Amino acid sequence: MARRDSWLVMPAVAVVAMLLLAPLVLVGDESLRVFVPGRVGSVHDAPLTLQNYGEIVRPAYARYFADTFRLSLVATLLALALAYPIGYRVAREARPRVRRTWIAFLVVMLFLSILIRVYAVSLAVGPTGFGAELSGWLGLSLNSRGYAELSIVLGLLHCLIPMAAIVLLAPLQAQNPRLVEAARALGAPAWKAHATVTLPLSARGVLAAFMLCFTFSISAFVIPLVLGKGRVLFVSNLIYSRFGEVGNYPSGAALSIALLSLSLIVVYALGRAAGGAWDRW
Amino acid sequence: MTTFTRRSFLAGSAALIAGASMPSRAQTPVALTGIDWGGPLIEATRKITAGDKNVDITWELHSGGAGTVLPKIKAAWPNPKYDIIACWNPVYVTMINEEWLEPLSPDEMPNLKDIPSEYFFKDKGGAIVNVPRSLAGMFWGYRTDKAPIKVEKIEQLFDPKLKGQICWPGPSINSNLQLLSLALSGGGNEKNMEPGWELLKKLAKSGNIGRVANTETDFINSFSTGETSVAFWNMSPWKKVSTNFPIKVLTRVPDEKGMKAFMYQDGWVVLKTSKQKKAAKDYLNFFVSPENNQAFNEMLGQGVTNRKAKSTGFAENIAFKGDELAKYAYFPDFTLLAAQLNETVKRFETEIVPLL
Repeated sequence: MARRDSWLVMPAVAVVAMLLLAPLVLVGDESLRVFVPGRVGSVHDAPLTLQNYGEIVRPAYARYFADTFRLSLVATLLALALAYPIGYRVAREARPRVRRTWIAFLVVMLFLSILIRVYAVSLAVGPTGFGAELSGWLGLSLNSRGYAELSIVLGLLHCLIPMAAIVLLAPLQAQNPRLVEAARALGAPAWKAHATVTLPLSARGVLAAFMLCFTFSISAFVIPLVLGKGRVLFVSNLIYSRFGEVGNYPSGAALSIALLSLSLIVVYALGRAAGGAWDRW
Repeated sequence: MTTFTRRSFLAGSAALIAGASMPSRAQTPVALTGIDWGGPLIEATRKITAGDKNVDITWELHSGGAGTVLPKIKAAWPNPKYDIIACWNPVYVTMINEEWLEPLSPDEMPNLKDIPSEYFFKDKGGAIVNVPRSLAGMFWGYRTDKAPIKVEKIEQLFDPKLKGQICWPGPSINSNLQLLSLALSGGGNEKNMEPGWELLKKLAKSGNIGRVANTETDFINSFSTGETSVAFWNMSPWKKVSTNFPIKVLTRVPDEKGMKAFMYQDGWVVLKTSKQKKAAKDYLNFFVSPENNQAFNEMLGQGVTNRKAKSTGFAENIAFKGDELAKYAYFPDFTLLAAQLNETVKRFETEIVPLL
């Protein structure tokens, strides 16, 4: 029956192929073309080359990839740690009106323009906000690379926390609270009941929130552009520069394909590792 | 003798009513799409445009440098939505290479006759392709209330007192004239930028670069919040920050090869794909009339391009007289700089950013 009705998915497959795969094929083709400086993109029938990929395997570019993945991972883990208690609190809220208010607040936060978030963080952690106090407390100069990294992580957290809290809400709400009560009744302390009942039962939700937050962070563009102060750049910033400012489409395309491939590998590997670990748990 | 009958009265009245109801050109403005820089520039452009009732222009803004419009045109060619584009020297060069620009002539646009011929860019056929609207400069400057030292020489940029105080424009901004400034100081030029790269590495290692600004807004915010206090930028944002803070611009620095006023002009081009070329040319002719050219540049603090207009106010900073021009102004070779942009950006990413 399912096989007979499979033609129903064909329109969706066609749309995805046209709007997602076809542009990707074009980007892949552009990444293999020779670029002539001073032009915009590769010229018609430009010869094929692997030079665009050769350039980005140099150690200097490995650093941009490492920064992108490292800061994204830190922001994602922090976001999960901070969003989990929020999601738990909202899920266990007994008063419907208060729960609705919490959810509305999180949804509104989700719709807040990214530019507003970025400039709000920029002003807050800059010299006109509490930047001087924060940098003094951390022992970092306001204009140092370390402080720029911290600003980026804070900017990412501003976006990730409501996102992760909303994703975690569903699995936490679906849990039967009596399971924890049963564990407590059998003598388990609160922390143990939480660690052995609540956490394992919400593990799939945590994994989903992790994937969402991590992929969002890797592809973040405005946040590192403004908060990185030009000292810390994500690969997305390099891609924009190639396409938008230099007109070197082949190099931008090679960076895009490399970032996409690495992201898929990392997300797949982490997802598989985490999924396997939780299954054993 | 003319006889006036009831029939002729009715016919005359009908003709009058029909004539009155026919829309005149002034009542039906031609729709154009244009792109300009944001901030003070688009504000000034809108004010001048308000005086021309023959066009109704939908404006878009450059997202960063004017070079960002190039991929948008390329992607949509031969059907880009723009009729007119505001840009400047290096972007003219790329657009000429791509053969995107409509030839312009003083016969169609009489106000071009009042603009010095050296401000024009020409296509491969020798036709004029730009309408210069402002003469401007890029130069070093600093906030006198925030900078820890008085900056008068390039070598002072390395002073440890300036730790984190320099706002350095990104490599694709300003056609990288900031690097040329260092190159000139080190004995180089557009053909030999190596001395500039060496000095920039030294500057990056010194820790004095507090921000690499990628947009005009980055620079204005950084200076306004006091995050940085020394920078190399162009006139319009310098004028903007000088309205709120005490600024010293370094356009007349004696005996310093690198601290020059790097001169350029910005203006308009008409795309050859425009469906409204006549209206676009009429509008741009109106835009650079003596009175409009003066009013536009007064608002921005930039120099006029029309001989019959007069530069005033902030533009005095680059209004060089007599031998001042040779002493303090520098006219870069933008064709050479534009050809190096791709390599420059990559070198900045691989050799400079890791040192910051």
